Amino acid sequence: MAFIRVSSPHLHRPLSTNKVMQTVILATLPGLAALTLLFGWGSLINVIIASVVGLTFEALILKIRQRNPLPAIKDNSALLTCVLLGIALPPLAPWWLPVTGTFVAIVIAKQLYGGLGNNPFNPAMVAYALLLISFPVEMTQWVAPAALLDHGLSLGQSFSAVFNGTLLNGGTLFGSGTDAFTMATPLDGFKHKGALMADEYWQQNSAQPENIWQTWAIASTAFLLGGLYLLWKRIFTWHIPVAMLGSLLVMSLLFYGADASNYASPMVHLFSGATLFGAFFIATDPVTAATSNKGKLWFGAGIGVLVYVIRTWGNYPDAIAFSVLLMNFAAPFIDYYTQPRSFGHSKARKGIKNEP
Amino acid sequence: MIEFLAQHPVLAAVTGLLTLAALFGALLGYASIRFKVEGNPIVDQIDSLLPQTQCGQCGHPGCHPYAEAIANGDDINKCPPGGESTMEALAELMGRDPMPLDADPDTIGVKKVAYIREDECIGCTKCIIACPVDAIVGATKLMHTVIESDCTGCDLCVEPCPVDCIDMLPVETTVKNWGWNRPQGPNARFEHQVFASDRPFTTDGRAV
Amino acid sequence: MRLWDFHGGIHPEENKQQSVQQALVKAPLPKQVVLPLQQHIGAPAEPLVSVGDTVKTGQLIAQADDFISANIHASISGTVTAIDERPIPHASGMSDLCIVIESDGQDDWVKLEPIADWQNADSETLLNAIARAGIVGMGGAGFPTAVKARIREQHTIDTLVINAAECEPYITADDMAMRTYPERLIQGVQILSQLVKPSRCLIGIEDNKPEAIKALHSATKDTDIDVVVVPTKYPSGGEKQLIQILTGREVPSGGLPADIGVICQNVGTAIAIAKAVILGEPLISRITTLTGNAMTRRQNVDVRLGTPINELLDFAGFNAALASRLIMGGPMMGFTLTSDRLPVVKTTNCLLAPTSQEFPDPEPESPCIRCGMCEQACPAELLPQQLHWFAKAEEFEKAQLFNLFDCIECGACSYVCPSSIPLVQYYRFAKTEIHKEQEEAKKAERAKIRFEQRQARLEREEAEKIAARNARMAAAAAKSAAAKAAAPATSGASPVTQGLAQGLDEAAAKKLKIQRAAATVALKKAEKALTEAALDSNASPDNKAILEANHKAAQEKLAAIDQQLNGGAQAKTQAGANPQPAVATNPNGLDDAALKKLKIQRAAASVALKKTEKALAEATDENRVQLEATFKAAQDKVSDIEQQLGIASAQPASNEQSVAAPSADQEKILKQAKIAAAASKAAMKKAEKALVHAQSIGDTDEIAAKEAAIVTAKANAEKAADKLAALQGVTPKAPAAASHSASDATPETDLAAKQEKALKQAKIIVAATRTALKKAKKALAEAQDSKDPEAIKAQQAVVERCKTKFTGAEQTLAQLTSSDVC
Ligand code: SF4
Ligand code: SF4
Ligand code: SF4
Ligand code: SF4
Repeated sequence: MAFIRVSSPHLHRPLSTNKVMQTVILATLPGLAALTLLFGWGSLINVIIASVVGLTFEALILKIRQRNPLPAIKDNSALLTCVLLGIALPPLAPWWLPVTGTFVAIVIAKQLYGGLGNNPFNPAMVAYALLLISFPVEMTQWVAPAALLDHGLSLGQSFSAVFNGTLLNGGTLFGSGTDAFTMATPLDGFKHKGALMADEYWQQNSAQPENIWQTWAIASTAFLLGGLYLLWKRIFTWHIPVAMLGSLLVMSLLFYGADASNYASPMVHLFSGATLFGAFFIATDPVTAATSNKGKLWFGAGIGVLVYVIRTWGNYPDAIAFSVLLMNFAAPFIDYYTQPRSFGHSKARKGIKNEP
Repeated sequence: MIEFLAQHPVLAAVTGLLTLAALFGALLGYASIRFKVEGNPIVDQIDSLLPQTQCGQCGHPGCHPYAEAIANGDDINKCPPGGESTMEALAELMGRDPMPLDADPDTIGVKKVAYIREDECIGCTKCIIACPVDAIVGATKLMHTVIESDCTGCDLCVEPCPVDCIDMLPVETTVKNWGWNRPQGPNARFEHQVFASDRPFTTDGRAV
Repeated sequence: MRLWDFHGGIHPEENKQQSVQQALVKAPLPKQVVLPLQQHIGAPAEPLVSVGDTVKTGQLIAQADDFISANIHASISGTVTAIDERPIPHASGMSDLCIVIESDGQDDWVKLEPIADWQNADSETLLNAIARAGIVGMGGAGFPTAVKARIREQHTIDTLVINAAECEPYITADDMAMRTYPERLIQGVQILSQLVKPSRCLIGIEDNKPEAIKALHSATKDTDIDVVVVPTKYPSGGEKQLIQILTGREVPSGGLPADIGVICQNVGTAIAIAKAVILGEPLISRITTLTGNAMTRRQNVDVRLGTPINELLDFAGFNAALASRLIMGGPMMGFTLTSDRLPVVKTTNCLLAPTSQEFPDPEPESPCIRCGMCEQACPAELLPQQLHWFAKAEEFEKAQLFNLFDCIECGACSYVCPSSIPLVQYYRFAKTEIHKEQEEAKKAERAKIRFEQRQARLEREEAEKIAARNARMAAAAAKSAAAKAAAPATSGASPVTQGLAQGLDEAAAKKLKIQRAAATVALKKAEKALTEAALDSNASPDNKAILEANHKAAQEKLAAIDQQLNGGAQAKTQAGANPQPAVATNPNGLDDAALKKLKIQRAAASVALKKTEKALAEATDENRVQLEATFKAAQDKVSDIEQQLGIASAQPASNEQSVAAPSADQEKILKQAKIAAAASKAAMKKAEKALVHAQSIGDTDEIAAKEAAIVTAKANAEKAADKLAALQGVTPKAPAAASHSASDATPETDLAAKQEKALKQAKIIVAATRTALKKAKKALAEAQDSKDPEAIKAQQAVVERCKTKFTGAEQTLAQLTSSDVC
């Protein structure tokens, strides 16, 4: 009677990669729902286009690399990337934006680096940054909250807008005559407030019937909820989000405290733009983040500081993508210098050098 | 001076660059003295990478002579016992490009040990003379034997034996030196990953 | 009491209930047991029994062979039927040496020797009892307990920890042992604390064993042993982890618990200690959990070591069709068995046969997503994902920098890994490879040293040869000038010898340069060899006096005899080729190649000798004056050669001294003595021969002179023989001087070299005596031809003597050869 030989341990926790990814995708749903409610069908359409195209790309490239595409597709990692990218893109973006984006994310940023686990940069953010640089106009046109529009776009109208760039009534979504449908995001607006003082700007905007800030805060809170769910599920540890939000808070508090008339308040920084989405869904991407707990703190804090710096003094209104990518660069370095102190060692090893 | 430079921006730039260059040069020079690493002579470093089998397959009478030859520009791909890894280590050390090994690929990397079929040995002592590491003991007209722990598997004793009683056997796997093999990795085909089988097993854990 | 926590850890399903429903029972006695000689860490035990012996239960059958090793006892009474390689329970599924005992069904025990008054026994007695019983760590590792308990001798121990955590799922062997024998356990703990004298004594037990905790509480009521209940978390039963939980101290990396004043023993071990000391019972059985859903009667059994696992499985109602695998040990750290025809050993704490619902086949490995879950789970606070990465890329150095060797292979990381990466297998692979690399590096270093030593030796020998040759050539140049002037007759010899030299050169060319040098030297010497030494293949350079005396006597004699030997002188010069090489190589010695050459030369010499004899016979009496001149020249040459030989022999001697000074000295003295003995014998023989000649010629003056010479020679020979005998009495104690690798001679090579040398000597002696015998016979024939009754008688005596010597020598040789064979 012969039996199989396998190495110990023989027991495994029934939590596999695809379950992990699935859970993360689940956790984006509240945020996605909020976006759809607040900004119309655009985000959802983005996500759907990105997912379908992304999975196709993944399967194709794996075939070309002569790997079995099935397990890789089943692990849900490509799907997650596509969902995140779809959420990050502006709603009602023309269809080729998510398509180009997923191509960059899946083919270039992920598979060309060796597939899951080997990519040094967050694929969704690589795609986002590339699109932002290449198509700045399309990427910065964010639809106005549905509530602010006289008439929300129906699903059919949305699809038409996405695929034809035209509305059913013949008008175009983007371009000169589209101001009715798009407006600057709060961060963008604040950045381009020009000579106005902060409170003047607020006054102008709060004059609008529905406060755009509230809209963004609601979406952010939805993502926060999803993130807390993941924390509770122990999909990731608290270190990165807390460090990132903390450092952003500290930075904005410092400058806001010093000069409230020129700098945005911490609340603006935390609850507008992609801050919370980024903190819980982008920065925590384990593949590209730092490894040890201490390293994660540094990694998160670095993102927070960079976000603040780029938002305040850089050329782009939001900065999650660039900050995350920059810290991805730094992750291996952080890893080398933040190795935990192993059991039985008096101190942690720093760097890769041999101890004398 | 300042005004002069201000009027001639090109000159100013050149001066600035030159100053910087001089500064960094000085810094580097200082660093190279201050942090100088007292390394082994290069030959010893090379020698320490060679497997010390002393087989002469590299065309040199032993590893150290080959190390000297490499230091003098000989190719780094001549040592079959060292295999790919030694060649790569040499390439790294010497800052050269790795090159394919100059050897029969079947013979690379298999660890062997000489074994004398003792009842056939006529005690001619020829193998003793051939062995570069004195791993054979025996006396004239008496049976000879190989000290297994000292034999480097260099093959040199096989040829001189007039009655061909020396075999090169692969080093045996025993309970003592057995170890788990490297898992196949995520991209392996399924049947290679799971050893579920009621067929017998090879020692490296795969089903036959 | 304050408890600490350790980093990470996991909470797998415990699955312990299944096997604690039934009371502990004894497994049926096996019909046959297979006892591997190595069931522990360290050296395998050395068998004390042989096939066919009858043994009793508890009888010592294999003895610890090293400091770290353990005794093995018969676990059943019966007959030893085999001592051979059998498959053993090991992850590799390979075989190792085992003793097989066929039961006689009696279970007849040896008389046990309990220590009645163990409370007052001294530690040495207790330690001996533990060592005698062959107790090893029963938790899994199998480290010899007596060795561990001796730790007190080098470390200060303040805490004794008894590991009763048993954190692995499924296993309940310790749990059942504590429920069933709490008093035995406490006795064991008391013995241990008597040995280590700690200031506190803690039993660490996980809170999932309430019954065992209750039993322990009542058993420890009146003792100062603390039962500490710790939270259930895998791997709290790891030695280092339990120590941290209980004391807050961390065992340093690469260190022992003793380094932080703690010694840790397992429950099963403590019970075995109590049994060994109080009952005198050696370790021949253990408690093993039989569990897993592929068995119907999941329970704990007390089983004799060596029991075939398939018998146990049958006992537990095992259904092979249901089993997905068979595991020895627990699900986290146990290893799979590829067969059930394997024995239970000292470390078999559990046999687990899960169904494929319980333990499905492992998922295919998918890429690491660096989720960090492994890191959160690792009790050693490592970065498992980095280690895995390095192991996979075979970057072992980096893996070591990331403390690979602190990994306890607990499997927590693999357990949580969502990508189902067999992390532990990667680490095991990396560890094996690193060990292999280290071994190879060590071996390469040794090979390098040996190679360099050999190289140095060859160079040194070469240099010596060259020096000797140069000296000789200088002397030869001077000599040949003198010889040309004095004795034109001898010049004829040199072309011949040169030709010979070339011939030998060619033969030697295949060998090392040394030997070639030696050959040239020998042949050059031959050119100037002693004319008179023709008959004497053992002539010595070291006793010039005797040689000189010889030559004087011979010269006188020859002068007195006839004038005929003109041509004879030449022949003799050639014949002289032999003794010199023998002389030249003997001091250097032990070189096989030289010996071979010597033999060739001897053959050449015997040809030359025959020629000489023929020439002598043919010689007419003429020319006494010319003969005298020849001999003077020869004599000059002789003394010259003697000087050179003196140098040559001094050098090897000093060389040997540098290698192994004291023995080399003795060796040298012995050699000299032997040579002296041989030389004097030869002188005697020569004188005898001369006498025969004189007698055959009928010159009475000559006869008288010869007789006197023989008497002197005999006296000399006897003296030399005495000395030799005395020396030989001494030398066996001295180590052999020059083995092949004298510089790092191992005992074997020493022995081999010694034997080889003795053999060589014996052979030489046989050959010499044979020649002597032949010569004597020939002389006898000559004497008979001359019809001189006295001469015949004398020759007969000589022949007789030679015969005795020859047979003696042959016997010695035969003895040596036969001893070599066995
Ligand atoms: S080929 Fe043989 S002698 Fe040459 S370096 Fe390699 S091991 Fe040494
Ligand atoms: S025994 Fe033979 S194979 Fe081994 S080292 Fe010596 S010569 Fe080489
Ligand atoms: S648990 Fe597995 S997938 Fe996650 S980091 Fe560790 S090795 Fe990688
Ligand atoms: S097996 Fe090693 S690396 Fe994995 S959790 Fe245990 S100690 Fe840590």
